[in-house]
Amino acid sequence: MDDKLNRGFSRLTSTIYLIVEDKTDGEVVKTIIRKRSIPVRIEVRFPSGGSGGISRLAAQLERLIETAKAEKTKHDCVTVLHDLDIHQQQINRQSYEHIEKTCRDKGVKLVIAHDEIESWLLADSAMCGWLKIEPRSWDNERKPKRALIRLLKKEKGINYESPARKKVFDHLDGTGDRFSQSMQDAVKKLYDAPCMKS
Amino acid sequence: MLTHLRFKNWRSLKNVEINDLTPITVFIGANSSGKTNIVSGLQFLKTMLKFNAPEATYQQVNRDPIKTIGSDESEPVEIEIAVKVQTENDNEQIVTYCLSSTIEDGKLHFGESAYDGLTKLEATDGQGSLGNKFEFKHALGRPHLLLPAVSRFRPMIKKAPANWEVDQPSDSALTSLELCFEYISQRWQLLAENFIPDLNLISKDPTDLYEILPNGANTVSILNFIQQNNHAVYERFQEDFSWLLAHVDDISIEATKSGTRLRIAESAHSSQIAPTVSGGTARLLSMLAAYYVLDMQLGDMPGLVVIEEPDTALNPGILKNFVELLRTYVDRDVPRQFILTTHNPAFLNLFKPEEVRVVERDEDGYTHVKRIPEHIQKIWLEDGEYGLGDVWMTNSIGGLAD
Repeated sequence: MDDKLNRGFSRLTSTIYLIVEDKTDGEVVKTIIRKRSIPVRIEVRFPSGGSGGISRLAAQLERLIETAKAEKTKHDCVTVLHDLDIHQQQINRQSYEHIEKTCRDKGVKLVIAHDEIESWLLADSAMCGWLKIEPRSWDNERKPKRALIRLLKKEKGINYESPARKKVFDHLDGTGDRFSQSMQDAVKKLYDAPCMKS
Repeated sequence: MLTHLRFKNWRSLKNVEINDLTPITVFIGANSSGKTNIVSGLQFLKTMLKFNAPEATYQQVNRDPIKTIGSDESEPVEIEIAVKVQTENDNEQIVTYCLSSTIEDGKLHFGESAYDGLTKLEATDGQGSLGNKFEFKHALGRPHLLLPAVSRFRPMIKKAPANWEVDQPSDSALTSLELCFEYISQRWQLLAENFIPDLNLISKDPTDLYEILPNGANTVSILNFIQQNNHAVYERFQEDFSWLLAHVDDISIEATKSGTRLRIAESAHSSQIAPTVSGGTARLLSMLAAYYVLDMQLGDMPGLVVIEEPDTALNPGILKNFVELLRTYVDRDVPRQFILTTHNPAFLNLFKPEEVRVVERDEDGYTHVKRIPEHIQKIWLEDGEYGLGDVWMTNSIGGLAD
């Protein structure tokens, strides 16, 4: 009885159970969804443990998907998102293959950010305006996260790996898909998701 | 044993029911989720029954408002518990006790009800305010059955006013009720967050030596009391402590010119007294004292030890032994129960899903308490590769900070 009584959270919109490498990726997606006023709720899930996000994601993905599936209603869906990390691709090949296979086997959509999710931030018009750079695609460039960190430090004196990150996200308007093909693909997958049509 | 808790309009707990409490129950949740409010509700109830409503209210109001923000003024605050008690003829009985308070005409009124499965007893303080004058009034068409029982704990109302019609309650109803009151008022030991004893404490403090203070301040006094009065219990305490901290050879409390002082001898230098005692060691002393002092009176009665964040300042290597120790405590012939809170996934890994409750706040700031979903056991825990704390860190069971 207590669960029924205590649950209390009304669910008027569909939920996407978004499984990511780490919490920051989930924060980026949540911000974009919010800025674009997309009527969907995001429940972020990520692997536990220390460093090595992609290998931990690969190791725990099946359980994470099963957990989300056990919790979701018929109006919700499950999606996995990870970075391409092209410079690490050889090292992490097994993890990528395992993730792809698991998503295929479990019937779950897989979204890959090229090369890192920060490329979506660097393609965002409002973010670029704030950082005084021209928006463009960073999808094929290595380590966009490092570029973003440098820009933030240089232009704003802000450390991306700090509480200020939240403020950084506030400068997004969620339009990175105008320049980033990988974000465009992600947005398309989002709109095509069954939970968006229910 | 405590089996059920219900809070209504108590701080952030607008309407929370927690059922099927186990011998060890662990509450997890983000900071400010409401875990401490659960503990403070229990503290309030205990103070209420041990002393009186004004004292309990004073202790709480002095710190924070007790009522849920946004709740209607006319809505009562209610704290309800269900206790499994052992009656004289060894029967087990569930007694549900509810304390309620309302504000009418600017005055705080208290009411109590108790239900033993057969009879519901109710009492209200008709004219009572925060003063000492209580008039228990007839409720639900029943006589003032609570009075004889509660009078044991509230000398101020021992003498019933002449205009009362007091019927004699049945023996079994009264016995159950008395056991319940005794259990709450005398058998609950609570250690609030940030508790830490003063190890150089001069035992001049006039505290109740059968009850640990929520801040742990009287730990050394209690240990001294145990050492002086029950060697068997003190030996068990020492044995457990050395099992947790293998480098500790002996703990004793000695009188010095300036008062009573804790002395710890380490095995590496057994002839010397350790010059300092770490915070974690000190907290372990408090936690074991809170448990062992239950053996100093009414030892056969059930006892409850509530500890907020017991893992704070403890080395991760100790946690497993600590939880194993708690499990031996709850497996004893005399029933003991623990309620704990934690933020530590490594600590949570040592518990089973049915022992854990997740405390969360909703968008309106009200606390909700939920169980670990059943599928977690099958998906994550069955093969032993992951513990519940690992699952917690995946954000799959809630209770993580945003």
